[in-house]
Amino acid sequence: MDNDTDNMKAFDLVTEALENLDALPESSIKNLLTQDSDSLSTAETLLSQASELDHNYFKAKYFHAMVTYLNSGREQLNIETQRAIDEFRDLSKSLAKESGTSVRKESVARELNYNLAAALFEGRRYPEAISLFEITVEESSNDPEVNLLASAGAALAYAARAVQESEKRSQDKDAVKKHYRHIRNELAPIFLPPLIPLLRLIRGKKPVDKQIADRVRKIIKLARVSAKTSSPPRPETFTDREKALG
Amino acid sequence: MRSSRFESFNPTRLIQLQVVPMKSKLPVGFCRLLMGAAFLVVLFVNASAQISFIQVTDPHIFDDTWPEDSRREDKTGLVSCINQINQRVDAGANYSFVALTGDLGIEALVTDIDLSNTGLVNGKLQQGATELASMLAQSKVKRWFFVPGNNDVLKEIPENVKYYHLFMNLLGDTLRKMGSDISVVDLCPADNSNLAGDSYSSSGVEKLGDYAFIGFNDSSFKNSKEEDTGAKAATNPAARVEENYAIQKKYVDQVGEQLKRSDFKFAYIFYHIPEIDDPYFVTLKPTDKALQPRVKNQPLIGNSFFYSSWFVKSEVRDGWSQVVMNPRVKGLFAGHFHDPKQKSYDSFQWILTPSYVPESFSKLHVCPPLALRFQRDKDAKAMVEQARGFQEVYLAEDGSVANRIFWLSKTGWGLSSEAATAEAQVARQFELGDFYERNKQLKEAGAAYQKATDSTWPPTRQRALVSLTRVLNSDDSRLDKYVAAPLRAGWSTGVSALGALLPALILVSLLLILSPFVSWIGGQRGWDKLRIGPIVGSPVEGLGDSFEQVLIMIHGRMIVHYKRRPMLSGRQLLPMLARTQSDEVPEMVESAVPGIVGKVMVWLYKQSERPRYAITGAIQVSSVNSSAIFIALQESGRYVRTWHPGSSLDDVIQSEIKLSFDALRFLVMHMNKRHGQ
Repeated sequence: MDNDTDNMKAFDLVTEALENLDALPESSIKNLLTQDSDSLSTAETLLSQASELDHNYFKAKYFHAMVTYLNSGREQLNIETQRAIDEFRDLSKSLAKESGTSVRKESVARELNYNLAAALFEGRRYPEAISLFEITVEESSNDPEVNLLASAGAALAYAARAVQESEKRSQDKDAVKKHYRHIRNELAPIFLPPLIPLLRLIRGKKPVDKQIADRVRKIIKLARVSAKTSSPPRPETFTDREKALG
Repeated sequence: MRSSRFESFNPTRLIQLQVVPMKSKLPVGFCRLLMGAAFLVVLFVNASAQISFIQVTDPHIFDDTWPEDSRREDKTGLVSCINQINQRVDAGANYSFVALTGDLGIEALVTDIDLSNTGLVNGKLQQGATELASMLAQSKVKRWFFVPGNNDVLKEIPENVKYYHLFMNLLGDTLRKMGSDISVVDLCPADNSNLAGDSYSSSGVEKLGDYAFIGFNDSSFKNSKEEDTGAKAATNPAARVEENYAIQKKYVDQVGEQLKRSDFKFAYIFYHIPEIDDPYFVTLKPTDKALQPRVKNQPLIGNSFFYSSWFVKSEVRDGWSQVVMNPRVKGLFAGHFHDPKQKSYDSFQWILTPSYVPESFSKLHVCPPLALRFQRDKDAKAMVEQARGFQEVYLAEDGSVANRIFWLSKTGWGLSSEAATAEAQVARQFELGDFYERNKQLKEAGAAYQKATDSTWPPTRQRALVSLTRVLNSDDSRLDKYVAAPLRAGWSTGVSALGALLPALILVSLLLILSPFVSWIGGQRGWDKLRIGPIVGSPVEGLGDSFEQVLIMIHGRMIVHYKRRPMLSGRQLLPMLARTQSDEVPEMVESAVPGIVGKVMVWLYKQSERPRYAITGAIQVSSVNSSAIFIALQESGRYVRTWHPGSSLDDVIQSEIKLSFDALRFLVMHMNKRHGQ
């Protein structure tokens, strides 16, 4: 499977889909129910058409899986999440079948694992999500952005399981603390975000995208509060989710 | 058919041809002085051999009455055109003559009157001649060449060219009587051989040095208006083609005879009706009524020429092809079209007939009309686009032709927006150069003049080269600026000479020390920079420009496609990561001389802007409905890859788009692979 395509029409369709996706972060979560769902639907259609034109076009399929994930949750625990999980799994298998190794391939594999784990979390399949998040954390020591997001994701999944299953509660809460410490150590001082790039530079570590760092900070805070108060970390209403993400 | 020239192209051969710097034991300054002197000599020799002129066509000041009477607007248009030419003369342009290639509308002066009444005919023609003379008298270009158009010859019957001749004589006489020093030159003067007892035209020649300007009367070559030529032609449209064959062949042969003369090197032919497709006919189907007489008589006129403006026997066209292919013929100048689309005059891509000799495209320059005629719709409202104007022509020392069109719009006269922008940029560089030169900042002046040499208009380019040479040879002035002036300033202000010299010495030392570092920085900075062009178009320069635009547009799409997207967020708590799907896309570099940022900064800027990648190429359209496109990707001056597909004329744009996509995608992959992305 090729990451890119020789088919200009397919390339153009993906470009158009990406333009639709680029508009998304500018909108508030509330709006996702209205006009942005149109952008997502348009992007999904365009990416499907691109995949039809070039069956080996990895990028089109990969973004399609992401769009399916972003489309999920419109209804409570819907079939979209399962579809996203299936699509990520298929891509993961295809990538594993590719011969040879390269920096790029390994990087895509790590990212794909994180995305699959996120989809599993969204589908409330916490044990599977935890397992995959932990593997991703382990394999991404040289890729701080994936590492931090996977660590935050793992903390969130542990917190969710702690609320759901009482027998592992204490163990899960410890795991949340472990990931909190890991993230604090990586992003420290957590209360002085402007200094983070400088400190990472001094410590000889790769810089972290500010947008990702902010998101990691919010997620780990949510997981920690949930573990302390034993309240579900995964708000069920959009208003609550918006509040949770600040 | 693909061009084998492109298929056999070997980039390594080009590399082998790179000029090896000559090791000279002569002092560098002396060599530069010699080179500058030699360059100046070449420029002065060129200056004496080059010629500029203006072509105006189809003013229709006497006959533009459909769909409503526009003669007043057309007369205003002609006066405005003369004023515009005068303004260009005032600004320094040196035009040898103005050529008016037909269709003043003289026919209308003698329509519906008793032609046997000589006094009445003379009176009508005199009235028109006086009117035109009063306009021409304002011209600052003193020589006006004329050839007849189909609307200057009553009913397009060849012997009626006598009224055109009479008009020309009256025009010349009237101007003389007015005391004007304008000379009227009829390039198709009356032929006194009186074929069949009537007066016809001959092919006149005006010489200027090595250049000869030849008139060709093709005013009857439409062979239309058959209802006026008698019973025979009325029932058979082809009859007029046969009837006029002898005189039309004779007119072509006359030009052929003039080309046998040995007292000139280059020939330029002026006539009214271009031999190529008519832009109106190409919008019709062969089954349409207007084309039927031509389609039905294909064997008579040559099988594929039914869209042509000429409806003549194939023997006439064959004779003309011999004239066109004559290597001494360097330019063909015609008019006649009234198509409101400006692009119809910029290139011949719209032509459908594949059978014209290639020289018809490479040598022919069709001037847009001056008149409003056919540039309004049936409700007499102005069309959204109009194509009215005149043509400025430049003949180089080697006889080659450069031309550009000045368009008349509601806001006045001007070049096309693209050419006007380029012209304004060059004018700005000249202003900068003049400013710096006056202030003895010769390096900056040189940079500005060098930028001005990018102009595609030869006279402007030559002027820039003269200015650049003058600045380059001002070594004494540099000495004055960097050494003597600081010394004098130091003396006058009481500061020691050494103190005044010190800044200059420090500056020079800094430049010497910084030179390798800045060059290295330039190389490093330019690792992700791309220069697009030049892409050379042949036979029409605009082809290359449009291809460059396609490349720029596809580059824009690549930027959107490969843009960095760290994560995609939705209503879910955990975002999606998409970082691996981004790639670096080379940034396009625009070469521009920076503003007033100081001489060191100018130098540093130039050194630090060295794009690692460049896409250059060529596009050639042949007359056999095919094109060849060639582009090459260079990395640090080395050719990395070339692309050269062939395509039919119908899908040139599609080929350009696909080729741009392939080349830019390859570049993105190549660049990211090199840098371990």
